[in-house]
Amino acid sequence: MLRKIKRATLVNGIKIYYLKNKELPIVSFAIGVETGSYFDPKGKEGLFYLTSLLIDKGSDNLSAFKIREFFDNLGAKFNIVSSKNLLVIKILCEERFFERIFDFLFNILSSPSFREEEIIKEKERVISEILQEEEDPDSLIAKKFYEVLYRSSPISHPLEGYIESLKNIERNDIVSFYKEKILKRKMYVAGTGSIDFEKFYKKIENTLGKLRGLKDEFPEFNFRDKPEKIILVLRKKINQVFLRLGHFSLYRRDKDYPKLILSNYILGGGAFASRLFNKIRNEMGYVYSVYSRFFPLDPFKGPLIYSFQTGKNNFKPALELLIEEIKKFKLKGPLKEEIEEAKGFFKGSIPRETETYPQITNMLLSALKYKLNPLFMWSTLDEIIKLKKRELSEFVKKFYDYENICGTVIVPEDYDLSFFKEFFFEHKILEKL
Amino acid sequence: MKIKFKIKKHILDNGLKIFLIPMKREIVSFYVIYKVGSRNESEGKRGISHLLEHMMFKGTEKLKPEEFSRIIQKMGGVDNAFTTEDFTLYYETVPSDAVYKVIEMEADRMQNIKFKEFESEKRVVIEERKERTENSPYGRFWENFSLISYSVHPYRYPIIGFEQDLLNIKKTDLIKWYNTYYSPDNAFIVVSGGLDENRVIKYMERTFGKVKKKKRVVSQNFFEPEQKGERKMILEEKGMLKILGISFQIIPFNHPDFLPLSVFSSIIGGTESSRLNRILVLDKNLSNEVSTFCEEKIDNGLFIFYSILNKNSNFDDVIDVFWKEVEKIKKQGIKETELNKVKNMFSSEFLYRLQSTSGRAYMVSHFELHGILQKLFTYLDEIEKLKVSDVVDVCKKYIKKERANYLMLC
Repeated sequence: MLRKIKRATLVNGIKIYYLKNKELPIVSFAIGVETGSYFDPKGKEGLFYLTSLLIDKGSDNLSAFKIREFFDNLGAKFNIVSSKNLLVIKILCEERFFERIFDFLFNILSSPSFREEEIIKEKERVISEILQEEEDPDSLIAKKFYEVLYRSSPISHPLEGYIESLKNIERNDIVSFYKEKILKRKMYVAGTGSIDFEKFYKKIENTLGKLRGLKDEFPEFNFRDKPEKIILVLRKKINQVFLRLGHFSLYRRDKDYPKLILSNYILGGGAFASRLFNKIRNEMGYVYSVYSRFFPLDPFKGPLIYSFQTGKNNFKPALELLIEEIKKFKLKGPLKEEIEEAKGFFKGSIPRETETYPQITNMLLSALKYKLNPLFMWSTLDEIIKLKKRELSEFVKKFYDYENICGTVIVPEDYDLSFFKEFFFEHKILEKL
Repeated sequence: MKIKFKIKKHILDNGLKIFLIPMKREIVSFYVIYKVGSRNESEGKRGISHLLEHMMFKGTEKLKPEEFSRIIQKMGGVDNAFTTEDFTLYYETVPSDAVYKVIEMEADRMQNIKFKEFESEKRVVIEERKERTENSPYGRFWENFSLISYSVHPYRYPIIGFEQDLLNIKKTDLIKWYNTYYSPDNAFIVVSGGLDENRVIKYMERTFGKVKKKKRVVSQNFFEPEQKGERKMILEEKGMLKILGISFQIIPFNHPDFLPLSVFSSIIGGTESSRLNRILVLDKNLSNEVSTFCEEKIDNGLFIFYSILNKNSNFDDVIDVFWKEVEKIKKQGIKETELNKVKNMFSSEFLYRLQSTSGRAYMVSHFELHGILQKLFTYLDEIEKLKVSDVVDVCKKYIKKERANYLMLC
């Protein structure tokens, strides 16, 4: 069934990928927009996020409440997800409501009102969100890690911006950002559902097809090849240490991406089967969660993260073990049986990851975002299966760079960091960026 | 909307119930549910059910520690488990042809676990507690919220237990717990996806069928005295986060009042266009986030109002809005349009859950656990039949000031 994906391109360049699936009377679709917090002007960080939050907070003839009520009345799931490099509008609805919902959605997108009172409210909410995240070590470390890794670049700042930068944002900033950096950015639509493709296509052509002048290039920015050797230390009222280290990863379109997927699974991405999990959690009982993880962030290089939380007394041995495992992996590469086990995992993963309507929509959206074949999951799997131990080891040696890492650590207020400073003696240990 | 799918039930001689849900899929979701959770625990040993869940991955006579999950992953699947107040659930989603290996391994760990690496796993659980509860404001909130919502019922204690409990639990305690509760007649299995029903049943008989019943489980009845007055707790953390919770003890999931109470919950605060969301988030901007829900429990669960306040809001204003809306519903009722909206939402949600093998397996597990599997397919009809007065009546019956518990974290 998945091989029957329909593709089309509207005259304004909007690409559509759609798969008909009649199992249930459901339609799922997502509109992707090539924008993100990258476009936030300096001093107005958070503009993109604030704008995205305001899209459904009122249009020319509807209040924020009426918009929410419309979707709830029809039992539809509607959400807007924003990130550093993408805006996605997602819908899951019953087939019988698809046309009404698409028309309504287009109406909202065409005329958001950005009323002053809504802007004030939304700003207050974002400020509260920022303050709340300060108290949750998990959220805080995720945010701060990006600030360190992408330091001095347009994607280093948090999506929500800063309390000070939010104060600088005015209504006209939001209105022009929306016009220029959302409505005039390249878009694509991915969907799957029980309706015919022709119906899906027509609806998009008659709505989003009217948009003109869509641009897709992200402005050039010269990112460094390696992160600055910085570790940011934050002190909080906690009784564990939270650690996040990392370096740059690969572009999604990089030919080595399948090698990254396979090798990371073995090192720290493969849940119960990974080396980090087995050594640091199972054998030593130092941590509850430990992993290595990566994300595509095209058109920028995504991050590769090594992360764990541990008790104060176990931090030193857990950190030493983490670095030792990465070193060992880099020097000796993965074992043959590890490679075979990992390949087994990926062979079975596609039916699991393409089971529900939103999962298929997400797959098609990724294909559109990263300019991949809609069946990229199968071609990536083929490449993974073909990988040999020698080429994987070469990649691992080149890629996993424990010497050029940066990171963030959150420690209890009175924690003595002298061992840590010795351990990272080549790094700048900062308590503030 | 009429929805029905095939469920085949089979009971083994040792009392183990099996439910098969065939679907056109290349994968299978396999759920094993043991009817034991923190609800069954006692003083000084809180967290033992959850600790046992961890130990179930630590090997048997045939398998080394963590080998269970390695094998699942090697076959292209995923697995995990979780413990609740009422039950412990182990699940795997694997390619269809791997289901036989899953059956073999689950049957093995139902009777042969060896409790290897006990001390190091206990340390892992203590770290889990610190990470999820002690170092998270949300974790601290929920732990304390349960503590004030009940006076004696075991639902008041954390599923993970307190650190002191965990240090106190010995290997012999775990063995005893395992031998008491992990018995085939205290468990059931739900399998959904692409499966050969007859072959699966035969394989189950050859594997699970050989597991002997353990010590007979005595059904426990827990008592919670009627609440005669409100309870309040303030957790002063001097941070920037303000969370408010209001709870009321209600009824078990299988009680006839549960459905109208769920509808009431959706109308007052359970959706983004609910009354409290409109007032607190959209209009007055007192809260960043509002939700209400009914806990689906074997004994009396809670109706919960939860809100993250804006930094400048105060608790009294939000509490005031909550009670004004409750009183309004008690006096003026709800609109037909509100009721229809929620009916639509419930029926769509039901449809969305049917998409996946795990969605169907979970629905069947949930209804079976509460002894009302036969109601799974009449659930939407029952919602359809609900009248405005049914919803107002349950609001009057359960949402009373003298039964309220408040937790304010600030």
